[in-house]
Amino acid sequence: MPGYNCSLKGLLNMIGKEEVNLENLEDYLDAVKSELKEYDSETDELKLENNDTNRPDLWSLEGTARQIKACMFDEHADYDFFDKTPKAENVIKVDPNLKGIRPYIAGFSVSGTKVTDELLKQLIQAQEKLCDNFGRKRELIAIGIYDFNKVKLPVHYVASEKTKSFMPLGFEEEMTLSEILEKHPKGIQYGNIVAKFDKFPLLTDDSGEVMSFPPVINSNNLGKVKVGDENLFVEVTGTEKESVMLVANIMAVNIADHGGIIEPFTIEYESEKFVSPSKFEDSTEVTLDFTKKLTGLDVTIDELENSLRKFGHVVKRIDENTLSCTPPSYRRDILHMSDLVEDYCICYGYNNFVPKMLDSFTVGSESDISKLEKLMRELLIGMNFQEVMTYILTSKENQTVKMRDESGIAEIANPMTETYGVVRKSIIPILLEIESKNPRAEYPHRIFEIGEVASADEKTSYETKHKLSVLVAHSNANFSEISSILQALMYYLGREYKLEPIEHPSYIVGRTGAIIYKGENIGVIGEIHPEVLENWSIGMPCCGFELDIK
Amino acid sequence: MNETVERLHPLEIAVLMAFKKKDVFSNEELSVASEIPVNQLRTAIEWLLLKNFIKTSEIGRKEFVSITSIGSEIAENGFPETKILEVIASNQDGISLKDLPTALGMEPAKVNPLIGNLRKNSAVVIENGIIKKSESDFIATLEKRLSIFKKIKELGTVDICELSKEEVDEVRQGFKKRTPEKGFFRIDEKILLEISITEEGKAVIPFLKIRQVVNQITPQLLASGKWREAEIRKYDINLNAPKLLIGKKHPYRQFLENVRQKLVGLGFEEMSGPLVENEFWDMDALFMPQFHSARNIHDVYFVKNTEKPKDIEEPFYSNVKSAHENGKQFASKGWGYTFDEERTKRLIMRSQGTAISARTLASGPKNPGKYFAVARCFRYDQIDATHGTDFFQVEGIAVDENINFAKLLGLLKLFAKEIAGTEEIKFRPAYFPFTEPSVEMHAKHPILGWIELGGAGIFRKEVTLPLGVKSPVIAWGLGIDRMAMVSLGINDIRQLFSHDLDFIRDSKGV
Repeated sequence: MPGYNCSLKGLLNMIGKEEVNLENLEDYLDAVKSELKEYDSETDELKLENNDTNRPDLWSLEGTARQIKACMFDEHADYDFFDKTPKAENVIKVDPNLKGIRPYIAGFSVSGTKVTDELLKQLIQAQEKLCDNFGRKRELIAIGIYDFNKVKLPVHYVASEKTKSFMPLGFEEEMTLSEILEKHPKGIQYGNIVAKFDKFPLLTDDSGEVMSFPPVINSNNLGKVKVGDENLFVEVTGTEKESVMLVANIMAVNIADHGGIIEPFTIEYESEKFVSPSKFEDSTEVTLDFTKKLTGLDVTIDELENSLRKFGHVVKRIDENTLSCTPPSYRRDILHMSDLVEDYCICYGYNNFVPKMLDSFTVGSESDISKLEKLMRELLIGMNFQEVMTYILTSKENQTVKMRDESGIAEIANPMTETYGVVRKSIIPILLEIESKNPRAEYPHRIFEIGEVASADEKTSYETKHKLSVLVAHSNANFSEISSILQALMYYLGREYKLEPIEHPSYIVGRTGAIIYKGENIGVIGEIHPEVLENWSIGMPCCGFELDIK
Repeated sequence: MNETVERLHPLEIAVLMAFKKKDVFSNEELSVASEIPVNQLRTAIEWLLLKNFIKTSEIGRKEFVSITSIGSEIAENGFPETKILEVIASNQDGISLKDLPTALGMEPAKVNPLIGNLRKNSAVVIENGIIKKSESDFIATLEKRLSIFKKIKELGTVDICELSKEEVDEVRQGFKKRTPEKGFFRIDEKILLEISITEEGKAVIPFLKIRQVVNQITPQLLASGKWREAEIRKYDINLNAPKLLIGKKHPYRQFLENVRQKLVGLGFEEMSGPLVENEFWDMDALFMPQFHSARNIHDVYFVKNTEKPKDIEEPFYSNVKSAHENGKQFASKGWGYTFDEERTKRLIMRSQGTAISARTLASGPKNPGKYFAVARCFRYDQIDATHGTDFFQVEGIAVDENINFAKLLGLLKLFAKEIAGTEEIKFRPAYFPFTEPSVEMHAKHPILGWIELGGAGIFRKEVTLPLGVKSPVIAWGLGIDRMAMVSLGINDIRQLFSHDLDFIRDSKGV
């Protein structure tokens, strides 16, 4: 989940309220659902985390300050550039051949502010978070920032031959687009996004000078921004129009919050034109009835309207029960009226609610399996057994090779380590693992586990099964002992069962039985095969059983 | 005085009675006089020493000789030096040092020290690499020594005083104090004790009587009624009792059972679901878009499916697909992307207990109805002191036409009191893909301080409507691992699933 950093001073400055300080900052962070992870008083750096994957506008100092000011102080910046008509020369021309490759672009220029250290840091951070987290590692979104003074207008966004060459950022020599994918670190990291296409996206200025190779790398010439630069050009490319427009809007308001003057651009596609940044006119209705029902508050239409407006929405009253809300242009997370109700609740303050008790009557109960498990557990404890509890993920070797039984194991496709590479299909191997690790614990060892397993054989098809697994280890452990334990268990459960001699690779031939209950094979009992014991380096005879709980 | 006498063990009484005849005994004499075997006598002496009724003093030491395994081998096979001398003697002109090991069938490294020994005793002469026997008859000397080895081997353990001076010299020479196992003989020193009665002991004697003292009530005593005449010895009841190995629940299980009991008490019914889930129930049904960042390869364990993936049940599949793609059917804008049918069938290890809630919603839950699950869940995390490969999540839902956010907060407050034992709580806005509004509850735990106790919210309509539930549904989840660790007294989460039998056996109930 996105974590982002900023200086405490920078954040407090941007909020601009004396009453906000480090001590009470967390209360204000409620407005943005961010968590204060750390503050380093030496560097003045704050580490914040935001889990709202639908609010990329909040993953920055500017967005955090903006939402706090709105929700807590009813103060709103006027982003008038959203209503500006672009200057005639501010144009990005889009090559129709980009269709199916990376068709969308948005962009704007910035003047009137010098790039400071803080602004540069925040720009780079916003770029990273928006591309990595929201932009799915640049697949959906990639952002480029340029020194606008060097750019000759109009800008051209084209599908280029792979043989085209330019000097990528951080290199002193020209490379073709194909070479960049093979040699440049960013090419290796992000090349897979475009590698499958015949032509690659390329951004050039009007003189043909390459600006960048989206989504991979900027040019070393135009695509380099440093502290002190005064005029910038920002562009966003991607595969989905709305996301591209949204991210351009977020970048624009963030820079405007630092005093930058935003100049919009016209994006010229083959058959249509768009302006960027531009407003979304995407409204959602919310009713008073729904709000009352969902919150349990006796709210009035005025209060609801006022709170939503305060939170940042443009609110129109349709009637005494209905409001139409247009979220600010840097948000696109309102899918349903319940999203608006949450904004209202945050404005109201979660801790200002009076918690109420549920008043409907329901009868609580445990599941039948849990009840049966409880009974089994009590009986085994009565027979002097210690319960154990273990992980469900385990190693393939333990479940198969050591048990001389390779069948039906469900494997993890992307294991973190081999130690936890499969789902256990049996608990007996884990009880043997415990036995192998505890030769010094006082004997006899009488242990059991009640737990879930799953296997990949045709019959079970990854279905979860509940199992009881029992193991006895001491110098005289034998079939007769384990059989009396099973017998006592089944007697007190009131279950008549039979043992049928079978062969099982993990148990000694002639001392192994299938446990048959109601004509069905529900488990196996026996003396553990000496070769299995040897595989586990166990020097003590062991016997056990495992059965399905149902 | 009476009480002291009554508590005396029969062995102690027998020893004290022996002192009626004389004041000082040796160990053996006392054994005879008290009619107690030596090994039992030692215990009685220790007890009486503690009570100050007798005292012991050392009157001397005795040395006992026995043969070691090395010495014993020599006693049987003779000295290797003898063999060397015999081999040399059989060659008139002597034998070259180089060829000697081969002739003996021994390793050179073992032969060399023996030669050195023979030379020291002038038994051989070496000239120009040729070894010859000297004039002296060293073989006879060795034979004599060998007879001593044989004698001691036969005797087993023998008092050193019973050996001749020659024999004692041989033994002392062959005894290495620091490394007895490398020597030929062992010498063990034993301390000779003299046991005498103290004034306190003497004072007790007149009160002693030889009684029929009973240690253990037996069926025979009960049947015969003889217990009436018998005197039942009084015990020191504060002596440590032997440790017992008992059967018991796992301590973490005990903790989880307590939580379950609370939830059942609060009117929740238990629900369950599979460990190996498909993406549909784990995520899609919960309105997590398929491109959501928590759904990639580094967040979830995928399971290799060796079979044809199963179709998702209708109408849930079509409804959920439609909620994701455009949402119109459910008064939502939807996520606006093309739903991937293959992806939704993919198998994963259940990543959140909410998957079970989704299945419960689809199964036609009671209304009003409350449900909970204590579910194993799996996250793709590096295993360390705070992360396990799998862990328990406590999850649940409440379905009720009249449920709302204020009641959700009331339920959370109740959980804080019942499960964390605190009334000090704070609510914070939170984000979960499947609830709106969403809330996090922080509670001040009596030991841990402020902890994030749980997350909750009201299920989005895009979750409930496609699964066929029209009433509002509260969804909640509690983080209980840290509380479990406190009550188990551990600070590494891996210990919850420990393989250490002593740790599990010694852990107390919670």
